Amino acid sequence: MEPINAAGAFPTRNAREGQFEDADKISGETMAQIIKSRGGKQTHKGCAQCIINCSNEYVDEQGKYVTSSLEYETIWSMGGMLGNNDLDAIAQLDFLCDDIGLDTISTGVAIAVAMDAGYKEFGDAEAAIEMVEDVAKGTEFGKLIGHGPEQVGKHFNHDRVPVVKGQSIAAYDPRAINGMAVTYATSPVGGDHTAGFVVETNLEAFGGTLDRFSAEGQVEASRNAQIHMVLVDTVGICDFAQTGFGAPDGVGNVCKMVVAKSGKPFSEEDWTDIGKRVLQIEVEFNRKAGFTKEQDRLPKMFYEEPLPPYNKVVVISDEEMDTTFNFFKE
Amino acid sequence: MRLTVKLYGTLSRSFDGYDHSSGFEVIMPEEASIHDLLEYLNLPSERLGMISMDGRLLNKKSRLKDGAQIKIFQPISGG
Repeated sequence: MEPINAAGAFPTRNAREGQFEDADKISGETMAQIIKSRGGKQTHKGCAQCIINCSNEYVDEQGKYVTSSLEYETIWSMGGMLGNNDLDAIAQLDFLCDDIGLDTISTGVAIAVAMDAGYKEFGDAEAAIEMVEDVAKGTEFGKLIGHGPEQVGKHFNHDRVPVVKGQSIAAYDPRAINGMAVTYATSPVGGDHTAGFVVETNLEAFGGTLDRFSAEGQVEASRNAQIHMVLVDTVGICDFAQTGFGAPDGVGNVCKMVVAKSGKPFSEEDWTDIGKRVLQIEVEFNRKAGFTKEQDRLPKMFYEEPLPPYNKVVVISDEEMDTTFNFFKE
Repeated sequence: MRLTVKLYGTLSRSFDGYDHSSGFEVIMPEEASIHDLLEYLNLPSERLGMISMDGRLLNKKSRLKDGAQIKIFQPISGG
């Protein structure tokens, strides 16, 4: 969290700013300290055989279990995005979403839109908890939250609704990382950071070569990341485990695994061919369902409102966005 | 100049008694660069990701400021 916050890419208070002044109160490091001091689990094995152990168990001050696992996107959607610096409340919100059956990103952003529209104050954690509890209670407002941020925005006639194709963006503001603007706008599944994650490519300190405030190279980076991600999803590799692709011959090794499993040839060329075919099928499905290229755009707030503290906007033009899937076959 | 340094991820493990809520103070010569600071802290660059000063990312040309808070991160990956 703090690296993304330092990059000014941490959408805060319904993406009014890109840096949360209380990020250190809800950061991973702080959470680890809290969990340790209360006797929870800072790490534990979520998936058999995995060495990453990405999960955790958050506990309250009495050491009683609250939720598992409390992850970056939720700490963002229920924390920074709401101007909420109370990690205990964030953990409670995570539990409620799991218990009720709600996506934490969509729910947090639905609450953020409601707060931004003036329904409640940013930072009011109690109000956020009540809104989520209302979903389970089936109240009128609860049903609205349950339908997600786009519906909340329509209800309040609010013009700051950070969704693409009806789905919220995630914890990386596209104005601070233009590559993510392309992914959010063009991915067939709507606002989704994992569909084509280009954050590292945009951060010089992480070996990235792209200028995050410029359009140059962004469409190509997102296109390639989206093609690659189709296969990661198709073969069923975890998004964290896919850092293994950074190893020498990472893709080649996975292709060997596919051969071993399927008994059929499978090469790196197949890897990208299938990715391209799947993206084309998905986009064609969307077209038949009524989506046009007009839905491959971000809400105007991202083009018009400079994001503090770096005060930049998305600079990818509509024409450039429309070249993302230039490999589609007739 | 005096700097407050905070280390993120696992970078603090080699610093005995490190307290993340306060970080620690480092005194560097007036004209010290980021490179000098990292050398002083014995943090090899291949272990490092971003570095920020008072909430802004540093690049290779950035100069250190007296009284600044420096945050040093490891490479991150994620979702």
